[in-house]
Amino acid sequence: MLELDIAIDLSALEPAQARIEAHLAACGAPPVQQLRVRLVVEELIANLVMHGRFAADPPPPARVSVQREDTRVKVVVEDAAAPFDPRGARPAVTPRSIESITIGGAGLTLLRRTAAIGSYSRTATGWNRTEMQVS
Amino acid sequence: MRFEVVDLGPVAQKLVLVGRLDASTVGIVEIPFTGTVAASGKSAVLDLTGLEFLSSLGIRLLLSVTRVVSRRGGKVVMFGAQPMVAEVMEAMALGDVLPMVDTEAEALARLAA
Repeated sequence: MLELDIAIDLSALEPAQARIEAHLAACGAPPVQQLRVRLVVEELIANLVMHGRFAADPPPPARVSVQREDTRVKVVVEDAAAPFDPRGARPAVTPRSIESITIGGAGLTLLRRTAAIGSYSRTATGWNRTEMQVS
Repeated sequence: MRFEVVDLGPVAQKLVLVGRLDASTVGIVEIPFTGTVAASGKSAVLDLTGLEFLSSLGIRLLLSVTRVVSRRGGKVVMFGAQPMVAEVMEAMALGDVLPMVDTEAEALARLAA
């Protein structure tokens, strides 16, 4: 299992993603699964950067763990933002024209279509904890 | 992430996207990419054969560029997506506003339709 802290900052994503990808490659995860995990981690962290509400400034880094279990990859993200259950977020509306597009919700829509969100809970220390499985 | 521009004549250009279009790179290419498309005033085909990864922030840029072209009466058609990129686009169900086809020839035919 790989555990790492990722700062709530888009510039922190790439080095973290490189470590996750290297770990998954060493575990034998196929490239398409590595890319799906990359997408899931990006969408969650980017959502925290753009929409997360934190009591501390700067916010503490998110804790991410990645573990290959049989053919799936378990991804767990813990963060100190205000309570947010990604299972309940409204999906993005399919646009009928380019002028009617509002991109809000796209990241979480992608997240939910790429990963099975197994559970969401609050930790004893008041953090969000989201567990996902990626095929 | 980088892009190259290929002139296809008076009405269209091809933009070749190479690398990853995501949270780490979109800020680097957003202004030059949008500026290139807007300055040309042409329709565009986007060559995705070299695009390895696309996230929601990348999609946001593609939609922004499509809107710029559309407001000038043009079209944008994408082609050649790798499996992961195609999976992301299909998940977002954006085919009505940002069509994606297999080949450059199909994309050019779509522009002419």
